[in-house]
Amino acid sequence: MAENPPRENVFHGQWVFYIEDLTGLSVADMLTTYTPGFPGAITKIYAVGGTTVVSTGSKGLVANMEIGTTDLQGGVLTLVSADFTTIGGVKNATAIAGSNRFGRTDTISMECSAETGGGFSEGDMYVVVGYEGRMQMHDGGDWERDMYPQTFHTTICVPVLLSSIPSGDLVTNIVPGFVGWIKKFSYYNGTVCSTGSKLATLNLEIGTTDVTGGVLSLDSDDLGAVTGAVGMIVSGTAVTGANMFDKDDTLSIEATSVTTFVEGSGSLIIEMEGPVLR
Amino acid sequence: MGTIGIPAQFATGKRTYYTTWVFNVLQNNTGATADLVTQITPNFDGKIIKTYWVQGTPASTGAGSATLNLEINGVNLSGGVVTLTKATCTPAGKLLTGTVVTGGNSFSKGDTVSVEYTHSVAFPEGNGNLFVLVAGQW
Repeated sequence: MAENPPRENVFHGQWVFYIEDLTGLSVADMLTTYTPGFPGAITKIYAVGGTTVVSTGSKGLVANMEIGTTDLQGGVLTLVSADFTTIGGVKNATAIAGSNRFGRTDTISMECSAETGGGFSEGDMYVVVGYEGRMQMHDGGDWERDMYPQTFHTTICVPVLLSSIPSGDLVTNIVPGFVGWIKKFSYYNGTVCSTGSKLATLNLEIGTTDVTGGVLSLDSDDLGAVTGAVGMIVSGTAVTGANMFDKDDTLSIEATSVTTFVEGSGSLIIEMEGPVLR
Repeated sequence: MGTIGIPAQFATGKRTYYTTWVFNVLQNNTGATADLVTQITPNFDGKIIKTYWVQGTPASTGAGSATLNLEINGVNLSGGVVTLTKATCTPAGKLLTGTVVTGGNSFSKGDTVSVEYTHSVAFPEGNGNLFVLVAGQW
């Protein structure tokens, strides 16, 4: 029986881990120790084939998730070439049967435990990990949050090709559409860089005001060109202020100090909280 | 600050929280009409509120014209259509808002959601992400 929270008082969200080049996967971690920062449970895992279809047959991999160093019971993703021969194929992991809860400081990882035929020869995909969490009573400290004591946690993931990071806005004026506050900003390294000395510094803006903290420094040397591997997480600096947004506010991701990347890709992960409304 | 709703502890009715789905698209690799995502199962009750596209690598050379729409159980949403064109898919970071969602947007935990892509003129390059704001309810 799955160790999930009760059906009421729960929220749902998802992480999207983008892997642009399946040839970069091996029998190793596909996601290494990401800390969600809130208590919850992993409830669903699936992979979506991207727009580069798999044309070479008899390839595949098996992947499973861990919380800390403990494997989930179930949630095993078995992917074969036939799953991704058309765009948008969805392959569900096996049902999650337990060991799926995580605490505020726990880490989640995903490891590729086996490959078939030496692994995929081409293709891209994103792995979606769905979570549930219990509504939280926040710890106060701000009048608006005190008015809305019950909060949910949510995530916006932005798959990104590092070569497309401009000097300027990487994301311009999305309107999240709900009231909330930003908790942290991270990068998931889905496909490694091979060209060194490429850089970008990313920060979040609400309206035209920079969030205080949450600054993410990406360096191709650390994303595979010199060191680093598929699955690693780069964490932004701690978010310390100017992080609240209204439902009509805009949110942008700004890039500065850019030395244009040649390759490499992954997902930007913005963790947020918001008040539960009726 | 605008109107932000009634705090949960002071009101009755369904409680609402929000989550965002994202679907990545390499524009030059897509077929004329195809599912970009075929039948994900959200696994909770909710409503699709809005859609928007954020351009990654611009698709600014050559021609190109396409639309993205969502389906619940194979039935198109009313609204939520994002239109991509050569003129609008630049620069990087550009936001394109879907049409207003006006109906057919509620789903139950066992329903399926798909994303359809239809192009009249293929894009020679470009990529981006389709975002879907979802209100979960209980």
